Amino acid sequence: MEEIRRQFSLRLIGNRVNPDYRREAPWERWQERPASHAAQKSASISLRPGERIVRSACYSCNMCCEVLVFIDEATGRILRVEGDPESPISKGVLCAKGLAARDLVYNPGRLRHPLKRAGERGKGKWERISWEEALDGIAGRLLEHRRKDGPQGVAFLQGTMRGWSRVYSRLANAFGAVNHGAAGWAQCLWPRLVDNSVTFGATYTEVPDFENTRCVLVWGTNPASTWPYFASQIMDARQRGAALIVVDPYLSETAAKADLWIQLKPGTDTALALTLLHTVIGEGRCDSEFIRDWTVGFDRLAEHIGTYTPEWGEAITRVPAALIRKAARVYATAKPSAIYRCVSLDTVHDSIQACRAVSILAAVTGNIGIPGGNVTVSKRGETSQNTHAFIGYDLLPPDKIPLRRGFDEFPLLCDTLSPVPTAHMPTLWETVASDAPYPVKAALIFGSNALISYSNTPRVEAAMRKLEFIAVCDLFMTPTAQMADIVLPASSWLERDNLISSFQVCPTYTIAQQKAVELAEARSDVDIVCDLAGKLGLADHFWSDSGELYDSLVKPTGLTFREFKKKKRMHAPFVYRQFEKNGFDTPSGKVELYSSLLEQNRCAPLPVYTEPLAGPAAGPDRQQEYPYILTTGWRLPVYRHTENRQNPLLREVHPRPGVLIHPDTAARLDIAEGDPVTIETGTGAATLFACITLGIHPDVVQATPGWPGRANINRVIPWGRFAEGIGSVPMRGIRCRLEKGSADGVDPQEGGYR
Amino acid sequence: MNSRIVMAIDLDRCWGCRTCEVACKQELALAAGPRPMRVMETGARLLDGALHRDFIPTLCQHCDRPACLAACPVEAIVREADGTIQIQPETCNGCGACVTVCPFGVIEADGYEGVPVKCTLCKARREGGAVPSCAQHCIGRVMTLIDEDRFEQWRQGRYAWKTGRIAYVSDKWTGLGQALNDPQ
Repeated sequence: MEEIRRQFSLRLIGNRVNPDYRREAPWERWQERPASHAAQKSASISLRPGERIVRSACYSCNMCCEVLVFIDEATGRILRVEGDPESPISKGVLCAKGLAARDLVYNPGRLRHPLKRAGERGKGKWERISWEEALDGIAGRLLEHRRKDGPQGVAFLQGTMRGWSRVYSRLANAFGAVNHGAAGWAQCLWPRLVDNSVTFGATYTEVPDFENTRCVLVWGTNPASTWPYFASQIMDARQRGAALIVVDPYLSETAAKADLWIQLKPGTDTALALTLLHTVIGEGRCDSEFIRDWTVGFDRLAEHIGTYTPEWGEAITRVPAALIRKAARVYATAKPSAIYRCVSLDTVHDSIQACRAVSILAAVTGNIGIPGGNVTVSKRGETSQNTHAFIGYDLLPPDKIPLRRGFDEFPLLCDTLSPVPTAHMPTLWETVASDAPYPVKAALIFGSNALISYSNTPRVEAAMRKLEFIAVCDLFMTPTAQMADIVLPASSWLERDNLISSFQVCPTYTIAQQKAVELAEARSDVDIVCDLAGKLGLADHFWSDSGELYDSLVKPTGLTFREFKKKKRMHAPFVYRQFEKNGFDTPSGKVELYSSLLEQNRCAPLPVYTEPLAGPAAGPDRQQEYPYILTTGWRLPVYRHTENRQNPLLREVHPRPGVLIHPDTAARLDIAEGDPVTIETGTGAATLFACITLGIHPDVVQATPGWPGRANINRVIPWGRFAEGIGSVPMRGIRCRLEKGSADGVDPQEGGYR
Repeated sequence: MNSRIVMAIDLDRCWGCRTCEVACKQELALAAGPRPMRVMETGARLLDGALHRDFIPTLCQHCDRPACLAACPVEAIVREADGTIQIQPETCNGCGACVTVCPFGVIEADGYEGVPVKCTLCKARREGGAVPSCAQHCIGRVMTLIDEDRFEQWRQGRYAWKTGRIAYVSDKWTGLGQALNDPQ
């Protein structure tokens, strides 16, 4: 049947492309398309007899689309989860992850009770215990290790958690755990946030104003797969006539719709951004008024970018110089233009420089703070959790802070410029493994599948085996939870209230998530953190439970959280050109093209390009041995990080971990579609299944991350050189070799955690 | 639901995110296995010197001359007033004739307890005034449900192909559907 469908679809579209399709460059001759071109919006809700609705917000990714949870009145069970057609934010759309989220509650693999290890570590023998016993046990061990080794000897690790909150960071700081952090952060979001802070003085992120833009420059992200309602806004902008420029080494779903697809060599983002800047400045396509009134360092920048010509860039990035010039012209002249950038810029070897170079492009073209550009946002009505006050940074004993691993080398990550000052994780894991310079013997792990989500998995696994005490809080018995001494059952987003107040995902609204159902003894990790704080003697710094926390957060709006939930959301519209009133919150009060804060922190104050070579296979003498370039950026629309492989409806859409490989390369290595391919870097090996495509360069392979076991691509990511100042682990542009592998032990069902 | 409806699928808007596949399965309460909606992809193709990668949602076309309806030995497949083709599970004997004859390969054999399953254009939702689940949740807003008599005006001269209640529309593909119309 699948083959009949395939033949039908190919015959349907044929192979004759309309030569005029988007040839007109509509962004140059702007006019609104007739409304009938816009696709349908659903206004009606599909409520049926015997059902009731709980209005909530999905947390199957960070996007937080508003949803309706349909519940059977007779049984109280969730029947389905749908997008909320009345939402002014997501307007009824909801991706596969949200639509299939019911399984999060009813999957037989869900953890339902606290568990204590009953046999040898990792042997899978567990004994059910009460919450009281579990929290007492964890608190007792953490306090014992703090007494013995000092607070630096207890690691507080987290992942994306099950909801959006910073209480866990507050717990770490109140406990004195300088070695706090996440698998992401330094290579996910933090470089962009630090860039925002040093360049624009904005506390949080710069937001693309898709609804008013005439050009979207998507850089290092595939919103069609990973940022659902932003993707719907980008598609609407495109169909309205906005230009779509996509920077991606692979012809991703988003790149496939681009007017200009910029297929760069992985890891050369900074070089590309510098050549775009060279073109924009060299051709005089800047906003000279904005530069004069609102930036500092332009002259030094103009001099600095002199050598970064498109021809220089072509040799490094492989992007034809003519295409670089064209992209720079479209971006600068289609104005207002909005940049949408994501994790790839955080996972290059020079993350902070790459982020800065892209921000500077937006600044010199005057696309900051204007309708249709990138709007910087810093605060709104409720109390923000994204402040050092909220995370209790002042609770950390000042004499302990320099003990944080990575503190001297990575000030942008470990010190106060960081949104959450955190340890440098590779350095911390090396400390766990070696007891140098001090012992770290205990770890509390919340919402993180650390054994899969950290790079250099073999090293992390070895370190984790040395820990004397591990407690894990999660939804499923993940490979990480299997290593634990005590496992706590967290609730999924369908089982908990939450106040979602994140500029990254929802720039103009604060939204309420509402509990729809309960599952056994699973609890919200905010409640667990509050209780654990009590057991650790830190109750004075905490709330009695999540309800009290949410009440305190919404208090400035004059509402209780219960009242807020009834309203469901709070609107804080964009304020354009806010800088005209308040300036920029940088030392100079202006956009710092030349960054005084980076200079003070011993980092390059103007973005410079450096070679993206990393790891044992880096040297030029090793290129024959390791002839291919690996990137691990292939995100699938049905998964998020390590999540969702246990969900049957999502798993059938993408059953196996894949690696994208060019047909010429596959032929050379005798690899056919679907064959196992072993990728080796000198750090480790991983085996994934070949997905052969012309959409990737012949010497580049792109793997999909987040799979357990031998398919985990993090097994090959080396720890050699880290990004200057912030310590990001490079995952784009790693030298590797490939061979046809064996599927033994790469069980496609391994991801089930059942 | 007296007038005939059309669900237009704007191929130029499809991101290939598979949201419709899962939306469909949730609406029809299907377990893993049958997949009435499938997004097929062309893979990266080199056409006129440029790479193209395209996505085509495939589902029951609710044909004007349905082979399945003709082939059903127990008359379990019916055409409704709105023009949609529906399988009546209470009449179906599970013989699978419809699955075999469907020229689009979109009737899935193992639906519920031996009864084949296919797109209903979300009959239950439409009865309640809502649009089909794929259309509502689609990240590219690809699908639009409209009355048939408004379709010509709606498509504004863009290329279109339909053989029933589903209309594929595109600015990009000049030969849309021609290969299907030609005699094999």
